[in-house]
Amino acid sequence: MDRKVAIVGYKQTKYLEQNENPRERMVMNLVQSLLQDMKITRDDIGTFILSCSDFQDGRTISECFMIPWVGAYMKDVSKVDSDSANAVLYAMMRILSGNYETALVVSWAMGGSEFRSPRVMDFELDPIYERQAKLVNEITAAALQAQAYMAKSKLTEEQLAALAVKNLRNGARNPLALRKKADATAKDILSSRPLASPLRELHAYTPADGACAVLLASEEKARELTKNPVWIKGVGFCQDTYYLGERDLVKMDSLQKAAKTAYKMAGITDPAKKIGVSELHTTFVSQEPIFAEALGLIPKNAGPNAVSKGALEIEGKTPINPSGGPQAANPLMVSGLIRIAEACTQLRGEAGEHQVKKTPRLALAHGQIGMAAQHNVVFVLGN
Amino acid sequence: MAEHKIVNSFVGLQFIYNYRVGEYLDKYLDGLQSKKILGITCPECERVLVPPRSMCGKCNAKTKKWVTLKPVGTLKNFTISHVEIEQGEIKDREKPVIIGQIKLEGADSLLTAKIEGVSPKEVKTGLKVKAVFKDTTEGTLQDLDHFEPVK
Amino acid sequence: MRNVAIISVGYNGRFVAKRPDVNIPELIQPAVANAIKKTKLKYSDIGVVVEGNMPTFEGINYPHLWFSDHIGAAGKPVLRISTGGTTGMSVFQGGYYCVASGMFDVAMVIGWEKHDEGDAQVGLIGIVLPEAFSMFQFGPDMGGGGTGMMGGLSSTGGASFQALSYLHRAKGTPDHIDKMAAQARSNAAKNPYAHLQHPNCTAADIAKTPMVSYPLRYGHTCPASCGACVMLLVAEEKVKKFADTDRVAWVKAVATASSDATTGNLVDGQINDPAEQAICEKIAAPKAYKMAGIQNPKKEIQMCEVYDGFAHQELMWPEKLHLVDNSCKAIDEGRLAIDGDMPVNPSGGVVSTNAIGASAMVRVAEASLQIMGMAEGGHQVPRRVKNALAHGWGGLFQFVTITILGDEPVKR
Ligand SMILES: [Zn+2]
Repeated sequence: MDRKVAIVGYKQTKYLEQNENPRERMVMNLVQSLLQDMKITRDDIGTFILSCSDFQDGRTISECFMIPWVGAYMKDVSKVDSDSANAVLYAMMRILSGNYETALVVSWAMGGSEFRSPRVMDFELDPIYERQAKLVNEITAAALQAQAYMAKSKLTEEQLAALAVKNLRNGARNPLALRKKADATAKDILSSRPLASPLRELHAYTPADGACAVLLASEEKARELTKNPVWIKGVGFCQDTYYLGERDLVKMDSLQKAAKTAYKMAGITDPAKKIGVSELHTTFVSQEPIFAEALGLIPKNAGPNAVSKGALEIEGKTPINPSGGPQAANPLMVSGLIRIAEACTQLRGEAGEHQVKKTPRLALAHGQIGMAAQHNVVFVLGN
Repeated sequence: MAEHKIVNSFVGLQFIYNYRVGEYLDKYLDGLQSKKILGITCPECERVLVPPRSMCGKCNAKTKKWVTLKPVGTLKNFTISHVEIEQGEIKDREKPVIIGQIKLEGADSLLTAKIEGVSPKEVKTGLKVKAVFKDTTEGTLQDLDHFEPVK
Repeated sequence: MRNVAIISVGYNGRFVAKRPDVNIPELIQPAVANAIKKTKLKYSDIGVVVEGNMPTFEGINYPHLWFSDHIGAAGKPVLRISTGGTTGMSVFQGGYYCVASGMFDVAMVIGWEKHDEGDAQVGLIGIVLPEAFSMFQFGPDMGGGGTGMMGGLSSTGGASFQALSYLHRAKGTPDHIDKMAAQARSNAAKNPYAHLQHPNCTAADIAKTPMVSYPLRYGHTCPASCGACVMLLVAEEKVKKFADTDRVAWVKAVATASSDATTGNLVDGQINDPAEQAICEKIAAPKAYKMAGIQNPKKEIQMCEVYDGFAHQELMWPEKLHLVDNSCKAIDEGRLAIDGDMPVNPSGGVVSTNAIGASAMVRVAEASLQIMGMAEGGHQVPRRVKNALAHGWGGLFQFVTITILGDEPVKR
């Protein structure tokens, strides 16, 4: 690959339980304001990669109704039907091919108001076994994963609650977040509605309405469009077997492989040292230490220690989800794109109240889908 | 904030899908009907997979050789589920249910099943459990009702 | 830009209406095995898998999660692309970019549909109803094809508007659609994988079928099929290593364009007319020819596979693609037949076989087989195919994808 690809602009909506606009207008406002910020028009965009789901939007070929609203009327469009971090990956490959100079990635979901997640998530299960058995769902799968990790690493319920507290506090520092609580305590978490042990409602992500747009450009074009491009240094993606009973839920082979590929491409051998901040698509907080270990951000079984030392806090050594992460707001499949936008914000030192202490040189962003994160995408971004 | 009209999106249609279970799950369901748990072997890595399927993704090999597994195993992992998802809503269960991952004797994958006969407070991994079938079986996954501790 | 070749095509078997003997992964798996069998590749050589279908037709969100193990994708990068009717070609183009970008040397692309699990109308009503809601919100365009969809409450409703408008423009008659459908059904009989096979079908046979929505008869419409199509795409440097044939199909151009669902194709101030298709004629096709270095498509392209959910589209698209001036005339002269000078859909086309998520990919697959000289059962075009064009449409007549293949790579 002799080309380099950069993220030159990004924009998020505020995440709400119910957006005041229908999705069409929400997305149009978002894209228009990004184009205005960038001082370009829709004619400057080579290709549009959308990321949305017919199930989350509640209609077949949902994107066909969105073409004019994203500014893609009479333009070149494709759609990735997966976590939106995959759409950035596809946009990047399109630019790398030399066929395009710019690509706009747009993702949206009305996860808070119209189609709340449980309605959608069961459609992810295979119809002939898990849907019939009615035991595995996104809650129990994450709970089994959390239990396996706690048994192995000896992470306590209090430490798990501390992670949730951290994210609610971080959320309070993020003006776009939906669930935020600056004075959250472990007691709030441990007295919230039990879902499946050890997980409770306040460990879970917060379904939200929202959208995010990210503009990518080739090296040459990037320098034209912005003074501080964020470079895609490395990327990796991988999918595990479907069957929960055949996966090591703690080791997370697919995430490890995805990270390995991304680090190799970025030329990183010591991610724990090199990565200054990470934004991870965690459906439940319990996944934070599990992912951090699989990504090599903290040593194996070091989750409990990292939590008690506050290493994952905004001010800590290995900040994870300073935005509050999906616990603060999660418009379902938009999550991966938000993680990328947030990582860019941190790299540019534009995160304001939730900016990590030392402006990082490298940041990690992650997207996932599937029960207990069967499919993972890892981006290493840098300036 | 301006309050806009809501367009009712309720569609009074029933969407019915008829999923074919395929050859392998069909045979597994027949097994359950006769109160047996069947697994299938990958000829390359020799893993015994339960529930059975046509391919081993590790070796990209067609699975062969069916085996009847002993209905006993060890509880490897579990969660106590307080809620269930019914028609897309999270609903509290009347009483919590233990959902376990069980390693059956002779199998290489874990089977997910309900655990009964032990209280949520006392359940532990490592517990030896045995399968309990419904009295009248119908060839569905529900025929294997739950697992309970071996006394 | 890195050149990419198609080195093999695999179908699961003949596409049929019902496959009660298999579940979804079991339907797809043989297509993967068949594609790999025709190469020197091993599963471990495949760098990335790109997959797609129409998810609401089977009621499964992210179905690729389920069948990782069956398609050789466990432990591999997998990308899922889905764009309605164009899904198959969008997936193919996704695979193309995986290799052309330099990220991967080998990509496997999979398009599939198992229509007997659900009811295609369930999925299609899912398009029509939101269109209605969209109009309530943003105002209807009474001249639009969208209204046509509403009026017919099915894709046939919209297609009949398109067919009438096309016939008017081309000065054709419904008999021309009968002729086209008869050619498609007879061609399908020469393709061992096609669904509706009717050897020596005549226009009179088609004219006997019931009228659905004037001018479209039952015999002009596509079936709902079950099937899967798989292709293996390889970077130029690796073709010798992995291809088991001397003749591979090179990807010379890919293009796509999208229009609006409800207010339509407003290029040059024209009101929406689903037979207008400026996105194809004025945007995607010129772009594709430019990328492929083709100046005179009528001379330089030897055959095409177009997406004809309805038989009149098999007449309309070659015109929009600049391959034929007037298809009604051309079919009267026999020029669109397998042994004509611009064979259209030797495979029998979508009107004979439609597993939606696979259909647009099958167009590319069939075009590549024609270049490789490997079309089975008598549907190989007799003269040597140097360049072939594959086309797909989707959404509410508003997505277009085009792929041009050749027997040698473009020198860039
Ligand atoms: Zn094996």
